[in-house]
Amino acid sequence: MFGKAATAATLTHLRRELAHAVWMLLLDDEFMHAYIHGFVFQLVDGILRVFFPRFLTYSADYPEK
Amino acid sequence: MPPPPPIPIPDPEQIIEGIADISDDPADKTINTSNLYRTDPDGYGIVREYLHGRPSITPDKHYSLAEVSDSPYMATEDSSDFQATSRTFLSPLQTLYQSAASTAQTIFTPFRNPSIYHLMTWFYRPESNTKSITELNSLVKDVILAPDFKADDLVGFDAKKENKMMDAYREAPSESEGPSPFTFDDTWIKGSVEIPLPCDGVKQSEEEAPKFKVEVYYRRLTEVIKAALSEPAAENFHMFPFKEFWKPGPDELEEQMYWESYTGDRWNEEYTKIHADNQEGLHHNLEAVLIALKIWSDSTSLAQFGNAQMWPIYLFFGNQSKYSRAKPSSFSAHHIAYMPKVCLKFFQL
Repeated sequence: MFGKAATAATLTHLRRELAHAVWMLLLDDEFMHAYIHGFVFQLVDGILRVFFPRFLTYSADYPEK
Repeated sequence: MPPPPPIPIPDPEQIIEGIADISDDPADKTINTSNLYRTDPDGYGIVREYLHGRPSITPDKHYSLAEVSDSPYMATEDSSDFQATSRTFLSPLQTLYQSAASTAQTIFTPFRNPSIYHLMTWFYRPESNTKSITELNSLVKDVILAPDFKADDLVGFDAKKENKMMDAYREAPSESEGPSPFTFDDTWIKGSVEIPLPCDGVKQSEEEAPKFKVEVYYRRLTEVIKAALSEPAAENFHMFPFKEFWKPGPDELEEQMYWESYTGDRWNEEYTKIHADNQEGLHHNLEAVLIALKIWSDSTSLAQFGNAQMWPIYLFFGNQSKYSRAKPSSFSAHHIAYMPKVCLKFFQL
């Protein structure tokens, strides 16, 4: 695009940007609303409960690699 | 390797209300101890403490040795009777079967006859990915010996054809029939993200930089969680955190035991917050539940040849016991996104 190959540092940067962009996609409005206010869902025992998603762990290799 | 965990958990009926120390300090509102439930010591002298009252779900009573071990060749106690009485979570096919009872449908919808229904249900049982003695027993007992099983029904049987029919069944649910039990809104979505491309040695602001569009396949996170909560495995999810204590001797101090994330302090603290928030929220009349998401991602080669790679993002649930979660046969990993790998080629166009 710029008539030359990207350096390793730029690629590293882009990979990080991509990973962040994908998480922006995943953490959509629906999820963020559920994170703050919970979402009501019925388990098969027939009882309605409010579920609050929380991130307990995040393990991943460095996307920059 | 430690032995399997002792699992004798008292039934909720046996859980008695404990009298907790009421804090003298009225400002100490972080933990409302008046609601504390303490179980009686079990056979190992272990007590559980639930900070916010008696739990409405105590999944450990469902656990048997077979559920926390993973040897397909081990003859385990026949659990089918147990499943018939205490299972409340059903596979989509079983849900169909149940709902059919209340409607005019035949019980084996969408299949042609009960024999094929029994066979397909057996094949799609959640634990049927490896064939074992238990599975073989189930094939004979639940399929071949079913009162409405007829070998003649299977003339012209083709598994592929039956699968196709299941896929096509009620893709557009009609209102009279209710939602299709196979439909969740957790399908894969083809999305795209744009990332600004910097050029080495050129100064420009992020807004001015050319954008590169990357296609990403993903699933809606909230829908994936809902779908997972509807799976049979969710029956064993721990919806409420607790603390566990063990008293080594009559004169010794209690020791706190940590063995799952839902016995940990962090989860208990966060649940206390959620519980308090929910009391003031719109759904204060409903019980709050913390769903612990464990995200895992690693670059994965897609084939044994070539170097096609991508990053899948997986989702596990901390609510599920590690003994089940770690079993590959439990299918507890939920795929939520596939990220392509940015490679050098993009820039040599």
